[in-house]
Amino acid sequence: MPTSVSAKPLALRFFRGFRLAGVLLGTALLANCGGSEPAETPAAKPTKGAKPATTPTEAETAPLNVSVFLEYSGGMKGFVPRGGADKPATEFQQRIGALITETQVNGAVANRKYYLCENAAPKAVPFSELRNLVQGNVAQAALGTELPQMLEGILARPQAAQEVSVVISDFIYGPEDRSAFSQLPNLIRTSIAPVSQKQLAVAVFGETSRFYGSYFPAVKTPVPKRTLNGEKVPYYVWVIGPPALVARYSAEVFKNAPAQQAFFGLKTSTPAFAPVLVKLTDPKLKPSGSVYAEDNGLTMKVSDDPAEFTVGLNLKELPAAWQQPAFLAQHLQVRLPNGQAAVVPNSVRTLTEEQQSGQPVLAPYTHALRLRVTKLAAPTATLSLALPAPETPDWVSAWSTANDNTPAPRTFGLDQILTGVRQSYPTPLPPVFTVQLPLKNDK
Amino acid sequence: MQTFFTSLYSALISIFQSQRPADYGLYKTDIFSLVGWSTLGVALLLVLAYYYVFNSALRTGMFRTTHWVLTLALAAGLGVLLANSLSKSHGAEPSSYLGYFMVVNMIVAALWFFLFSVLLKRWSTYARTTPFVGPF
Repeated sequence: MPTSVSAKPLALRFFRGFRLAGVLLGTALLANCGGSEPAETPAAKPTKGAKPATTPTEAETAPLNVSVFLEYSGGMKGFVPRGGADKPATEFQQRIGALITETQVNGAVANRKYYLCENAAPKAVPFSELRNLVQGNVAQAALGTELPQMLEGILARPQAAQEVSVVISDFIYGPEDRSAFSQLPNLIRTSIAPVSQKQLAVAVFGETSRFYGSYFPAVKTPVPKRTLNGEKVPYYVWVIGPPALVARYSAEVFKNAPAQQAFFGLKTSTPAFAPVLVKLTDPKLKPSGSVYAEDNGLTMKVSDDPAEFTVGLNLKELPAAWQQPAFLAQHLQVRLPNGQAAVVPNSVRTLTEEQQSGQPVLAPYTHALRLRVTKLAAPTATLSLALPAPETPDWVSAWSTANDNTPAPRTFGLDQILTGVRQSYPTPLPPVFTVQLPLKNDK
Repeated sequence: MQTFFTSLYSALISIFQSQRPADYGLYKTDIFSLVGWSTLGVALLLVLAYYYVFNSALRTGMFRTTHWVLTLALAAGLGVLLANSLSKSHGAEPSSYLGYFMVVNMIVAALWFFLFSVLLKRWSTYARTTPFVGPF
């Protein structure tokens, strides 16, 4: 009998079957709509590419206005002898000539002005005159101002808090009143009062240069003046201004800065920073352990194995010396409350163009380093990576002297002068930058 | 349902590998639910085809368990294929995790096929007892 089923019930059965399937499908579709909707919300979308990022703050950069001040007193004249084929340019002429040219032509600089600091208020001069002066084509030089007055005059200008002031001087402080020596740090601190009031940064670059002519030491005994013929004495370039602008000027304009550098209150704008987990070809950069990107942060499980991953950083605003992997490896600090994290030793590297073009995910960054999270106790935590500002570097005391009557590559009371600068900032110095990364514990 | 698929696949894959890959976020937001739904759909379509096309509308004589097992194998194979191609087209990187996902989806596809078979076989004309009698 089963084979003799008539056509009608067969069709009926057939359709009944489909009806049931239809019901099933219908419920399935309903469940689909209801269930997957939250996943389609815009909030969940950006996590798609697994590329969380603390937003690069390229937009907030202020225009870089620069004023260059050259102390032009009798004591500076020896740095800029009249040149000639037989006389090679002094280090001062090479370095400062390059610096003012770069300031004049560099696209990063929005506006530039040049001044001579003689005994009166700074005198505005055209670029060509300043260049002539550095070349050595000048006859007259003024008597010179005292260092605190010069700094005060430069920083008293109303726009000094918004722009970068570049001060080029030998920074020899020889006051009329000898008793002022004892107050050197305080005098400097007072003269640069706007630095602490308006939270400006100071970058100091030092170099020795051959010197031809009259040298006026701060200590006037036994001789108040010596004539030098190519002995090397120091001069300095101070860059003073809003922290991010000082950082930019130091990194983008003063690119071939001398090795002796000291920075106070330097802060960059928040650098572009993000973990880079996927689309990497270099096995040294690939993550290990259980870690993945989610909701602008990382979710990880570190109970069995530590999680190790690469983060990219754009540190182009840091001074060249601070961009060195060795410096960064030594100074970068990782903090993870309720957990344990560290920079993996020898993992800080500058990214080459080859690495960036081969792995485009790394293109926004100048540096890559590995972070290792070994403990994560809380369900969520925020990892922060900071570059604490280094204290006054060691070369400062080596370049200081209490008696400069015999010319040497040392400056009278340099340590005192920079102590005055240092005292304009809180202790400890605020970090140069801090970036943060939210972490989530994987259940 | 997304959560369902995510927990289903995560739990099954963690039997093989507890470490999550760097692109797990991608699996969680996109791949698991997409592959989950497609696998479910493919299993359902195969069950409908087997019971209502080949064993009701047409009389092909494919009601034997061997035929059913072959169709199940087809579902499982398609499960592997779906997991692989959909993951890769969504940007997942080749990894051991993806490999285990393919294995797991093979089992899941077979499971769906078995489940739909049991649910739907009683309305089939010629294969209502394939692969076994009952339970409905």
